Amino acid sequence: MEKKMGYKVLWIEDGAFVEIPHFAGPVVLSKKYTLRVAFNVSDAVKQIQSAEYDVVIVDIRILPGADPDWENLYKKSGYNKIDARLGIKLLFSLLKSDEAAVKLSNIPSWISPVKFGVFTVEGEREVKDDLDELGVAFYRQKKAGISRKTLLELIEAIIEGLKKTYKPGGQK
Amino acid sequence: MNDLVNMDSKKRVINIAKDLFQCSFPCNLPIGVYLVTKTGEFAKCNQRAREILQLPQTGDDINANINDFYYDPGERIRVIKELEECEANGKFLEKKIIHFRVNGQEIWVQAQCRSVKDPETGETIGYTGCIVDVTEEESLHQLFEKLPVGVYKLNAQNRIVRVNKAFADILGYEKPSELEGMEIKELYVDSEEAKKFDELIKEKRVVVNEKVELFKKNKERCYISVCAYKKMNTDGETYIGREGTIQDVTDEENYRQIRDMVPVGAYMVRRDDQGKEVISNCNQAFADMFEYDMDMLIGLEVKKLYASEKDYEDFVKEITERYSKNELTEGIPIRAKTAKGQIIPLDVHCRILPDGAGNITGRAGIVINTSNIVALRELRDDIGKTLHFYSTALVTMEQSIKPVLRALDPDPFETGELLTVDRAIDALSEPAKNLKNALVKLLEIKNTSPERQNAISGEDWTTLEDIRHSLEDYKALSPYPEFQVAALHEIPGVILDIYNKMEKGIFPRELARDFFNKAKELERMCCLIKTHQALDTIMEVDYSIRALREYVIFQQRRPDLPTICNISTLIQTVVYQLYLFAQQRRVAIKQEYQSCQAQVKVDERSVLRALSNLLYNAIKYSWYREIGEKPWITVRAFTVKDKVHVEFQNYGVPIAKEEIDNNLIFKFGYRGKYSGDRQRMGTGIGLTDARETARNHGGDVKIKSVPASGEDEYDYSKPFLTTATFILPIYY
Repeated sequence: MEKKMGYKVLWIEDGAFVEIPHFAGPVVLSKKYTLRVAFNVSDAVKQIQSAEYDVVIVDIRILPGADPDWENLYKKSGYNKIDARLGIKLLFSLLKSDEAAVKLSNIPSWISPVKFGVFTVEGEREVKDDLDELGVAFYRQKKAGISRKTLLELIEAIIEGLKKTYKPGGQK
Repeated sequence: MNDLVNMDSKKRVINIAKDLFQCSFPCNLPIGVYLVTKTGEFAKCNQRAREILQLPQTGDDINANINDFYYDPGERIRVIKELEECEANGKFLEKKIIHFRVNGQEIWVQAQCRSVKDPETGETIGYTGCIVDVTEEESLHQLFEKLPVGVYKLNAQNRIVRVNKAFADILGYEKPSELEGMEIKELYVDSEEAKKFDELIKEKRVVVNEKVELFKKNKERCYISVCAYKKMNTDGETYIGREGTIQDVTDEENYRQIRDMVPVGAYMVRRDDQGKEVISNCNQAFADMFEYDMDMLIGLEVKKLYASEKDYEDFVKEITERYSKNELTEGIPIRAKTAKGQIIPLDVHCRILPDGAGNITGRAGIVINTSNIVALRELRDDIGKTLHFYSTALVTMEQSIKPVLRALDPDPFETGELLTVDRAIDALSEPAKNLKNALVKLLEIKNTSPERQNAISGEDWTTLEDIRHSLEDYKALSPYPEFQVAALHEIPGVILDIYNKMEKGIFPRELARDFFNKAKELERMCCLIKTHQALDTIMEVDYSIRALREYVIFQQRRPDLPTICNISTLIQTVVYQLYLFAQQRRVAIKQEYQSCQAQVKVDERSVLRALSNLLYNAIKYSWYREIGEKPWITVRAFTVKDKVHVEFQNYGVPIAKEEIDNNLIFKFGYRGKYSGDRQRMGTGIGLTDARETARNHGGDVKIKSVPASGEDEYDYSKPFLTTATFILPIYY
C-alpha cells in the first residue's frame, strides 16, 4: 500500500516504465513526492481533470490515447509522434486554450504555467518559442550523460518557484 | 442541210422573241442578254453577252452554241429541267449560278432565264435570258466553302451568322446551319475564356493564332487556333461583329502539353551543314535541367552539354554501335554539364534519326536527371555502412556484458530470457529484506555510545532511518513496480557512501561487515537486473539493426535468380533463425506447417527476410495467455487454389482496425499505435518489406487483428489475435 507523500507530481511520459524509469528512482526514494504517470495525452487529460497536481512534467513526443480529438491530431501528423508534438499541443489546451488545437471541456482552476515543466529529447531551440508563449519556464533535455537526479531536480526547481509565487496554504 | 435547219430555227425564234421583247433587242444594257434556239444555237446576243462569252463583237450571225460553254456538259440539261419546273409554277429561273469555260478559262455567270414558246403549238423553240459575270464573287464563295480551315462570322451579339462546312466539320456538326444562331461562348469549355477572347479582339482589332479550348458537338474537347478581326460600323465606333478562321490544333496542343509538362527533358539533335550536332528542338524541362534559356539552347552544339569532350565522344560511340547492331539506344548513363558548370548524371533514352540511305542525321529522345537516384544510392550505401558499424558495436557490447554477468554471479536469471519487472521485484525482495535487517541492527546500537552516535552525522543517521523504512515497505514507495525497482536501485549507493564515512572500529566488526555485505548484495542484484535489461535491449536493437541493414542491402543489390524452394523448408529456416529470440521472450512456436509441401519459385533471400519479419513481429507482440503458461504463437502453411498461405498468429498487442483498413501498417517507417506497448522497439519497415517482397513474387500480405475474446467490441486494452498471412503463388 502506497503512502501519500508531500507534493503530487504527474509525469506525462510514455517511456516512464521501460526506457527511463531510473529517473523516477531518486524522486520516489526522496519520499517528498507522490509520483503519478500518464502514458498518453488522453490519459493525462483525464488525470488532470480528476485530481489536483502541484507539478506536471510533460514530454513532447507522446501518443494520443483513446480520445478521438487527440487521435485526429495524431492522424493529421501522419501518425508520427515526433511531428505531432502532442505534448506542446496539450500545454496549449491547458494554458492557452484560445490558441489550442483541442479545446478541453474542463480546465481545472489549479492549472498554471508555473506548475509545468518540460522533460523531453527536443533541444531547447526547438521548444523555446512555444514555451515562452505558454509561460512555461522549466525545461530539461533528455540526453545521454545527464544525471539520474535530473527529473528530481526539475521537480524541485518548480516547487522552489511555486514557493516564491504562492503563499503558504496554497493561496496565491 | 443542218445549217439550213439551224438558220430556220434561229429565224423562227428571233421572230417569236420580238414579241417577247416588245421592241428591238436590248443591245446596250450593262448585262448580257442572249437568245438561243432549243438546241443552244445563239440567235442573238447583246454586246455585254458577247464580251462575257468572248463571242465576235459584230455580225448578226453568231456561229456558236451555248452547250459548248458549259463546264459540265450535262449541266445544261439539268438547268433546262429546273427552268421547266419553275415555269410550271409560273416563275422564271432566277439567280442561277452557272459554271462556264470560255476559251479555256473558268467563269461563273449568274443567269435569269425563260423559255421561248411557239404561240400556236406551245412548243419550246428556244431560251432567252440575261447573264452577269460573277466569277470574282463566286471564286470567293468557292474558297469559303472548300477551304480546309473553318471560316466564321459573328454578329454584334457574338452569335454565329455564318460558318463554312470546314468549321462545322472541325466541331463535329453535320452542316453549318446547325451552328448558325448559336452564341459563340456556348462552344467554349470555359466561358471566362470566351469573355477574354472577346475583350482581346475588341482591344486589338486583329488576333492571330490564339489558342482556345472548345467543345465539339459530342462534348469532346478540342484545341482550336483562331485568327479573327473585328468589324466596325461605318462610323468606326460601333462593334458589329467579327470574322475569322479556325484550325483544329488538338493534336499539336496535346503533343505540346506532353512535351512541356512531362517532367523529363525532351530534345532533338540534328547535324548541321558542317556535320556538327546541334540542338534543333527541346522542351522547357530540358532547358531547365541544363540551366539555359530555351533560345540559347536551340542551335547550340550538343557537345557543350556534356561534362567533357570525352563524355560526348563515348556517348556518340555507344549509340552508333548500338544502332549498327540494331540494339535499343535507351538507358545510357551520361555525365552532363549545366550552363553554370554543374555536373549532373543523366540517363538518355533516344532514337536515331536516319535519312533515306540509313545515314545518321540526328536523334530525338528524352533525358532523365538521376541525381536523386544516385544520391539515394549513395545514402543507402552510407546507411548500410553505418548500420554495419552499429551492428558490430552491438556485438562488442553484448560480448562485453557477458563477462560482467559472470563477475556478478550467482545469477538467478536465465540468460537469454527476457527479464520482466515482476521477476526483478521477486529477485530484489530477499536482498532488500537482508539489508533492512542489517540496518536495523546498526540503528539499534547507534545510541549505545557517544562515539557510535557521532560516527556519522545526524543527517546521515536520519537518511539511514529513512532507508530502513523504505526497505521495510518498498512497495509503499510507489504503486508502480518499475519505480519500486528504480528506488531500490538508488539505496546501495546512498548506504555505501555513508558506510565509507564511518570511522572504522567503532561498531562491532561482524555487524559492520554484515551491513556492508548486505548493501553490496543488494547493489549486485540491482546491477544484475540492469545488466540483463541492457542485454535484452541490445538483443532487440541488434535484431532491428540487422533487419534494417538487410533491407537496405536488399535495396542495393540485384535480386538473386529465383530458385525452387519448399515452403516448409523456408519456414523452418526462419523458425531456426529466431529460436533464440523466441526463447528470450519465453514464446513457444507451434509449428503447423510441415505437412504443406507446396513449392515456390522465389528469390530465397528476400522471402526468408520477409518471413522472418512476420515471425519476429508475432513473437515480439505476444502476451501471456494464462498466468504461469508460456505464451505461444502458431505458424501454419496451407494451399488455397494456386497460392500457398503462411500464417503467423499471435495473442497479444492489438493492431487498430483503422490502421489495417487504411493500409497504414504497410507505410514505410510507420509504427502501429500499440506497437510501442512495453516499449517494444521497431523500425516500421518489416511489414512494408514483407508485402513488397510478396508482391514482387506475385503474392501479397494480409493482416487481421481481432479481439481474442471473440467479442465485436474493439477494446484495445485487451488482447487481440493477430494473423499475418504471407501469400505466394505455388510453383508447379
